[in-house]
Formats: sequence, structure tokens, C-alpha cells
Amino acid sequence: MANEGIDLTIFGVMAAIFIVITLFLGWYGYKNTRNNEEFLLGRNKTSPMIIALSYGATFLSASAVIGFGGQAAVHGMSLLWLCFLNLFVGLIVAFLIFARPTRRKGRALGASTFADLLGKVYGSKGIRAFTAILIIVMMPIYAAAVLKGGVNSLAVITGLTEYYDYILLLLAIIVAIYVVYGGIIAVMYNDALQAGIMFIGMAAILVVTFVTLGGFTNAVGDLDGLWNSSITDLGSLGVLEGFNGWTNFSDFGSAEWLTVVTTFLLGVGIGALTQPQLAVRFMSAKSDRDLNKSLIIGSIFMIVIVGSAYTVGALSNVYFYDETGMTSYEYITSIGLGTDFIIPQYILEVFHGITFGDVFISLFLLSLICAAISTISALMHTIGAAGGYDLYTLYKNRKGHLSGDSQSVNLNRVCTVVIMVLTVVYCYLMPNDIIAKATSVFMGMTAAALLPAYFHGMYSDRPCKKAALWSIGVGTFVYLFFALFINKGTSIFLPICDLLTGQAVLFPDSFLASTDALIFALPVSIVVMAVALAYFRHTEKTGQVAEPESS
Amino acid sequence: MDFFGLTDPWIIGGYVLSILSVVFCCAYGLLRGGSEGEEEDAEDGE
Repeated sequence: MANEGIDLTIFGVMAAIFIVITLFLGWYGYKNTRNNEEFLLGRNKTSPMIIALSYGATFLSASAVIGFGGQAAVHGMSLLWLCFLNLFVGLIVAFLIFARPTRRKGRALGASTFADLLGKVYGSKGIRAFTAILIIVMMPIYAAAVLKGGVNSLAVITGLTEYYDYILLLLAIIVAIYVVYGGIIAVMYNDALQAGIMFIGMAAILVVTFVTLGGFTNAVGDLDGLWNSSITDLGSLGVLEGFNGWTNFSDFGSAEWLTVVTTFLLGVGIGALTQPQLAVRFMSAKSDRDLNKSLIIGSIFMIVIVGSAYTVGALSNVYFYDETGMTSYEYITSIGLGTDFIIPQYILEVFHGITFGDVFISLFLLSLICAAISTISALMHTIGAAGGYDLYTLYKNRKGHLSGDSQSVNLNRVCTVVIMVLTVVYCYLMPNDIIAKATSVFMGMTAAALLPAYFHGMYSDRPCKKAALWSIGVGTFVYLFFALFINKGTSIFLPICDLLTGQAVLFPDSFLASTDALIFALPVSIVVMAVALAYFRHTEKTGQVAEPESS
Repeated sequence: MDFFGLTDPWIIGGYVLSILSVVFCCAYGLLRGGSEGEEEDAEDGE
């Protein structure tokens, strides 16, 4: 990778304009934030378009574009199922099943954060505290992964690796300024701006790819022909046994199939339903009508971003083979880079020499920055609120200094600054592989611990606190057990099993060792919720439990 | 079966389901994004 295809002057001008608009929107958020509720939810300034674009931009980080786009270049068009799952789980299930009750219950109970909502639905300070602590402990690591990944890609693509520290600090400072001062209004308006840039960037890449390769049908034919005529060694393609080419799904049950299905497809979707930063978008909507309307823009945005990334990723094999005689994976490894750089390298080369090519390359880089900071800003806001609003409220309630919720905007701001500093420190302290695994653990643990309780809380007229506590407790325990003692990918995150037994996991040669902990923990959490609910309802009826549900 | 050059039903299914999801979201948004909102806000106590 080199910066030979990048005009740093054009990129610099575009980045400067972007920063000015970003800071202006931060100021706009500041001017429209008069109290804590507006800092946390910003209902006074939302619209269906803002909700849709903010949700979409927060949902899709840079890894959705370049990470999974690169995986599509290696594993082929089977990744389109991830596009479908993003749409089905991330939009249809999330908006039709969770969004409406989340908004309504949140408003009725006066909840301003996800932890606040769960706590108030169940009348449980423990559930609120658990959710807030989970956010504060694990989410900064996720934020660090997104920040570090985005800055690393940007530095390598532009050739400015010697300025890595400055780029990282600059991005962190810009995000911190607009989140701290402008609150959720600035976050959502900037998300919308960033989503617009991402949309234009990815649509342009898709169009140029089709034009370059002679149209979709022609490109698919060439990709099919490439597999049928030239490939003999699967290892050189970065795929496993069972791979059938980029335009075919792999053999059912093969190593390649298991990798694609369990790692990419199942591992991504479910976790999105319990992401606190996404649930807050539902609570920010003015009405159910706004939520319904936002599905239109949200779905079009999502299919253009991820559909383009995965289609272009797979078709990049045709381009690289025509240009270099190598597939995308062979080419990117031959120049000493990893899968994450296939999409950026493809864009550098395909736009090089065409009219306005420099502008489009700069637009892509800006899209990359937008994808990263839209996610980071939402995470910063969520973590800051978990500390400055949820935990502070619980602390003050416990001390008897406060009967309701904290109304201090400034405390949320201070917490957000502290978390941003901590996130930057994480970027330097934690190795890449640990950060990626910690991100996966955070996503999985929130789903295993909270999804059944979240669902029950949204749909029951009398949410059962005890059943929720059992589900949360058992879901967390089972997830941690499988993550630390069974799954070899996550066990190295905290090598307790190695310390106790002398081996990394309990069953290293079993299929269990490569199966995600969520596959076991979530069903257990659901079953515990159902059984505990049936038991406590029954004992209520028979008069064995006299105490009320809420405390 | 040939769908814009694609012949594997699973890959075709990925594209078709993605497009159908968008169609569903747009139809749902258009049909359910109508006049009910004001009443809902009133119910919620705004």
C-alpha cells in the first residue's frame, strides 16, 4: 500500500471542510441542549431521517465496510447473507419487535438510557447497575478497537504512518469536543452527515466497479470463470476445504462453511439487538410513526453500504486478476498487507487515472473516517451517560442525597471526557488481537445476559424481576464459562483455564473449542428466563410468594 | 436458474432476501408511517 494514488491536498481540503461542519453541528447540539434529557435523548430535535441515518451509521462501523468487504473478497458472495441478516435482524426485528415498546416504555417511565430503562421496567437498581457497569467496563475496549482500526487503516492508506499518533489524537479530540458539548443532538446530526458521506462514497464505488468490469452480469460471469479455470490451491486463496468459488456457497458442514456461517453470519446479528447505543435511538424518536418512517431510509442506507461493500469485495477478484494475474487475497498478501486492506487497495487502483479519481479516493477515505467516528461518538455518549447518569444516580440514591435521577449535564460531560482519555490509552496498551476478542465478548455477553430480560421487560405488563435476575445471572455465568474455558478464541483473553488446568481450554480437540460462546449461553439464558417466569408466576398464584415484584 | 449471471440458489437467495427486506421496510414505512403518530404522542402524555 502506498499513498501514490492519493492527492493529500484534495483530501486535506475535504477533511478540513468536514471538520468545520462537524464542529458546527457540535455547536448546534450545544445550543439546543437545555437540560439533561436533551443531552441524553434529544427528542426535541429528532426526525425519521435523523433516527434512520444515526442508527445506520452507528450500527455500521468501518469494519463493516473494509473488514467484511475484505472477507467477501476472500470468501465470496456468501457474505451477502450477512447483508440480509444486517437488514433482517438489525432493522426489521429491531424496529418491529423492540423499537416501539422501547420508545413507549422509556417515555412512560421517564428513562433516558438503556440501563435506566431496564432498571425502571423491573424496578431493580441491581439490573440498572449491572447494565451500566457492563457498559463502562467493556464498551471502552470496543470503542478503542473501532478507533484504533479506523486510524490504522487511514494511516496506512494515506502513507502517513509516521503521523499515527497525531491522527489518533486529532480524531479523538474532534469526537470528544462535539460529544461533550453537543450531547446526543450533536452525535445524531453528525451521524446523519457521516451517513450521507458514506452513502455517496459507497454508491460511487459500486457504480465505478460495474462500469470497469462491464456490468454486474458480465463481472459475475468472469468471477465464475476465474474459479473454474485457474484455481488449484485453496490455501493460496485464504479459504478452507469446502470452498466452491466466489459465486457459490461452500459445502454444507465443511470447514469453510462453518467459518462463514458461525463466525461471520451468526456471530454478528444477534448482538445488535442489545446494543445500548442503538436502543437509545429508539427512545429518542418522537413517535412510533417516526420509527416506522425511519425504516425506509435506514434500509436503503444499509443495503447500499453493506451490499456494495460485499459485492465489490467479491468482484475485486476479477479486477486484480485482470491487472496482476492474482486473486485479491493473493495480491494483497504479496504486497505484505492483510485482508482488511483489499477494499482500500482496490479503490486506490480502480480510481487511479479516471476523471475525478482523486476526489473519489478522498471521498472513500472520508467515508472510512465517518464510519469509524459515527460509531465511536455513540459509544462515548453511551459510556459517559452510564457513569455520569446511571451510576451517579444510583450512588446518590443509596446515600440518600437524591430521590430521583441525576439532572447534571456537566457530570455526563466530565465522564465522557474521562472515558475518551481512557479509550485513547487503551489504544496504546492493548494488542490488536485482544481488542478484537474483547469486542466480540462484549457483544456476546450483552446478548446472552440481557436479551431475554429486555424482551420480557418490553412485552410483559408485569415484568418479573426475579426471573430477569436469574436469566441475567445465568446467562452471564454461562457466557463467561464458555468464553474462558471452552472457546479457544476467547479463552486467551483471560487465560484462567490455562492457569487452573495447564491447557488453554477444557476440550481443545472438540468442535466446542471453535464454537462461539453465545451459541450456548443465549439459549440457556432464554430457557432460564422461561422456566423462572413459569415458576414465579405459579408460586405467586398459589400464594407462596407474598412480596411484590418491584422494589 | 440464472439470476444476472448467478446460478447458485443460495447466493441468489442472499441477494433476493436482501432486496425483499428493503422492499418490506419501505412498504412498512410508507403504510405505517401515516397518521397514527399524533395520537400516540397524546397517549404518551406529551
